Formats: sequence, structure tokens, C-alpha cells
Amino acid sequence: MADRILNSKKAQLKIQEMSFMIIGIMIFFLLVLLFWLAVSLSGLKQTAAASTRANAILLASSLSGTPEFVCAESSSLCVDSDKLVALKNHPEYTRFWDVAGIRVEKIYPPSETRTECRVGNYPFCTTYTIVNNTLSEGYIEYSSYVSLCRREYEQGYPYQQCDLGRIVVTTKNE
Amino acid sequence: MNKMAMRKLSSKSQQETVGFVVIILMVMVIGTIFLGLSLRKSKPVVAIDAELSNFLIASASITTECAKDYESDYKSLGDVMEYCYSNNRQCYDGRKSCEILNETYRAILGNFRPGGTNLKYYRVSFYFQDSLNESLEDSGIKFTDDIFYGNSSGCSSRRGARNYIPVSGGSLVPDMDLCLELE
Repeated sequence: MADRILNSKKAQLKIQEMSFMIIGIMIFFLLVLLFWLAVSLSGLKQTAAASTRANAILLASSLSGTPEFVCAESSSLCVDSDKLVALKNHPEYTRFWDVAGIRVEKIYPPSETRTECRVGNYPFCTTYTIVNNTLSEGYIEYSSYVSLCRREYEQGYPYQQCDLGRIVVTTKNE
Repeated sequence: MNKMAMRKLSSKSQQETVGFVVIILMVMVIGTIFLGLSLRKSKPVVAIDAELSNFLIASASITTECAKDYESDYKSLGDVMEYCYSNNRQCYDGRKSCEILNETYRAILGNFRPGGTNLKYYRVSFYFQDSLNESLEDSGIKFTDDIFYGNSSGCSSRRGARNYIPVSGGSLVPDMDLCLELE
């Protein structure tokens, strides 16, 4: 009789131990899973941000490859500044691209003051604003580096003068 | 008899508890090793950046002070890189092409602010690579001195890019990595 009670208690204790162990292991694996999820999701956020940034840069650089901007010489990421000055005199083009703003800035050679380019001061200027429909807030700017080229003459000889520029595209922040 | 049985039971449960702790410890050690390995794999030393790639492509086209055959025959930075590779060829005004390459890159990078941030550190190396199938680190040959500024220590994430300029027999590769002041 005593042996039976003892065996029964022993079995109960074993069941209790096993259930504690199963619960412990489950909690442990749950914690590991949560930790792994937190790490991988933070990586996912970074990847998503990097991807958005890369797409934005791609949008800006692909715009520089359109016939309205691209240089006559086949060179990648090259914008013809003569075309930009011509575009500024055609306000009908502001609705041609489905973006809120497009401007091209000269970065190198550096200039102390930033001046808007017009027919009167070209090429001694820094910024070409082609489209500017950003009246209110809630816009985001994307940019890509481009070479900003024009035809120049020295002692009667033509040459291609290319500066370093940045094409900035403004879109609605959705 | 009862006392003996209880003592036996108690030592058995102690053994089981020790076994349980050993299993948990083993799982934790294996998990930590696995996590460490996966984190090390997913973090490259220098992240390749689209903005920097575009910068290197665009800067290769800019006009330098180096003229070739006559006074106004100004050449692009990419051409100057090729002259520098071709035994540091002289420009029309007698200056060495590698000197102009170095000066122009320094001047451009002095005004370079990726994402509107100043640079804490940059390094540009110039390689010749005869085969694109092999990695630059294995088969690239440096043809001029590096251009660098600042110190890379304490930089948490570095950005980098390369541009491949085709020349006869291979490519000239400006290889840039940098660290932003924010990081």
C-alpha cells in the first residue's frame, strides 16, 4: 500500500517536472524567437530605407537621361546646360514631368553665391530651376550627381566644358 | 524504507534538474554562436552606395586643366586618369597628369557633401584591373598614390563605390570609401 502511494507520488512529481521543463523550454524558445524577430525586422527596416533611397536616386538619374536634359555626346549621367537654359524659357514644360520640382545645381567648380541661371547671366550662375510647384509643405527631395556640360570656345577652338552638378527632383511625400 | 526511497527520489530529481540546466545552457551557447555568425555575415565592411557610384561616374566626365595637343584641348578627369596610368604623361602646360588627377579629386571632394553631411574621412585609390572576372583586391594594380583625408577609426558604417572606366586591356577603377561626420 505504502509502495503504491509512493509510486503514485513519484509519477506525479515526474509529470510536474516534465510540464515545468516543457513550459521552460517553450518560454526560452519564445524569447529566442522574439530576439531574432527584433534583429531581423530592424535589418528589414534598414533595407527598406536603403531601397527607397536607391530608387529615388535612380529616378533622379533616369531623368537626366531623358532627351530634354541629356548631352549630345553619349556619356552617362551628363546634362546639357544649354538645354536647361532653353527649357527655362518654356514654362509649358513645367507640366511635362509628373513631379513637383526639378532643379539642377552646379557643385564644382565651387561658387560662393548661389545664383539662378537666366539667359543674361549664363554660364556664370549656379542653379537651373526647371519646375517649381512646391507651394506647401509635405514634399521630399531626391538627388543624383551629374556632369553639367556645355560647349565653350577658346582661341577659336571649341571644347566641351563639364562641371560637377546635382539634379534634384522634388515629389510629394506619400 | 520510506526515508530511503524519498532520498533516492530527491537525488534523481536533482540529477534531472542538472540535466535540464545543461540542455538549456547548450541551446543558449549554440544559439549565441549561430546569431553571431549570421550577424557577422549580414554586415559587409563597406556598403556599396548608389549616390557615390553616380558621383564617381559624373566626376569622371568633368573638364580638367590638363590639355593634350593644344592649349584648349582640355581633357576630362577620366582621360587624365588614363594619362596618369600611361606612365604619368605630361599635359600641354608641362604638369604631370597624376598631379592634376590628385589635385582635382581633392578639390571636388572638398565640396562633396553626400546627403547634406560633411565628410569625416575619405580615401580614393586608383587601380588598373585587366580582368573583371577576378576581384579588385586580388588582381587590381594601384597606379598612383591614394588620396585620403581624416581618420577612419571610430566610423560605425562606411560607404563605398567603384567606377569602371574601360581602357585597352582592362579597366581603370577609382575605388572610394568614406565616412560621414554624423556616424
